[in-house]
Amino acid sequence: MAAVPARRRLVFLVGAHKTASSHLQQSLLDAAPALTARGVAILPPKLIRADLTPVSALVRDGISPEIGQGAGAAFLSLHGGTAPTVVLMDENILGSTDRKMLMRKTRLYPWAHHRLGRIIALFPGHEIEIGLAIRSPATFMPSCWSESLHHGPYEPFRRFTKGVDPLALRWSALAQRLHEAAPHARIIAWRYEDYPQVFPQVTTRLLGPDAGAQVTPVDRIMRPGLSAEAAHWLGQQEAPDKDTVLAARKRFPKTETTPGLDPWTAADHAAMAASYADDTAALATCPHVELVTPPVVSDA
Amino acid sequence: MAMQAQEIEDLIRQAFPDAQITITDLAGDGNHYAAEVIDASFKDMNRVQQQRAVYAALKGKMDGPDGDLHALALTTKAPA
Repeated sequence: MAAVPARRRLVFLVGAHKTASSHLQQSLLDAAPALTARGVAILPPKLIRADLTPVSALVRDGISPEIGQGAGAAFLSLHGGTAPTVVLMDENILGSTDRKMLMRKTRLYPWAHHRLGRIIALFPGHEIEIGLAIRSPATFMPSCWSESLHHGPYEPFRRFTKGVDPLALRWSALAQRLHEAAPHARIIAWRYEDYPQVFPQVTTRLLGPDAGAQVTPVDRIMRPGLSAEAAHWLGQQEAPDKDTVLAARKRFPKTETTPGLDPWTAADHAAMAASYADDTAALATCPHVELVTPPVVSDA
Repeated sequence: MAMQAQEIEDLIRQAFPDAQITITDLAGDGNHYAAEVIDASFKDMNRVQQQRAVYAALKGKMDGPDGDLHALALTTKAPA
């Protein structure tokens, strides 16, 4: 029987929300038996939220760090077995789609650095990597809004984004805060917009070439957002609740011909595209970040 | 000094006499355990409150470098 490694490679797959994170999680979970055989354990969000996040909150609230670290060690033994690499998947390590947890003025996930720092503090002595997908605020904000309607009271998109400057939201700034919370961790980042093309590179980088090759993308969209028609219909309802949101989703599904809500003007789009390009370029130059980009296709 | 699984269960049982308690020795070293505690009193508590209550039941057995129990993975839930 293999011994429990004293030092493991822990990969925190933190989303972000609405960046095909559920699709990547399910693809990894579907491959879990093959990955386990190759020394990679895949731990789903449900497990992190039920057993690990409460411990990090208790350490924040005053129980001793030793108890937290003991809980982290036992958690890895229990769920990671003897795997040298453990992938811990949970977007809620960053925050949630509740607007106060998602964005504030110019900040994405305003408390993410504290939350990540508390979780990582449970695992001293291990190699830490962070997997983070980014997405243009032009589509990230409407998609998070539609997701938020499943978890809290209805509020219109304009209220959801009140006080937030989409041109000032910077993933590179979030990455810097995560780096400060976990200075020894590498951040592996990719753009949601590139996800289909970089999927093999992302799994290879996160898991290693042998294990990464075992993962194939699941053939379905896991959590589609609201269509524009559904959003419009919801806005016309009196006091919509979660059931109303489900009804809207069912009645006006998002498809290739019925796209998601687009609340921006053409000028907004142009400005946000430029801002996102700048932000991506800044992220790529961060010394603690590896930005996975699509392979360059040669004409030769 | 390492703890036995029964000692952990007894401490938790004092605080949760009707709980369903499962203790698993993870490494055979008396220091790494998993505990699953299912109790009706958890019904109105969130996960943090549930775990806080169980840690409180362990009465300092995990505190500090000289604690008897070094590593405990805790799962708490209310009965289905």
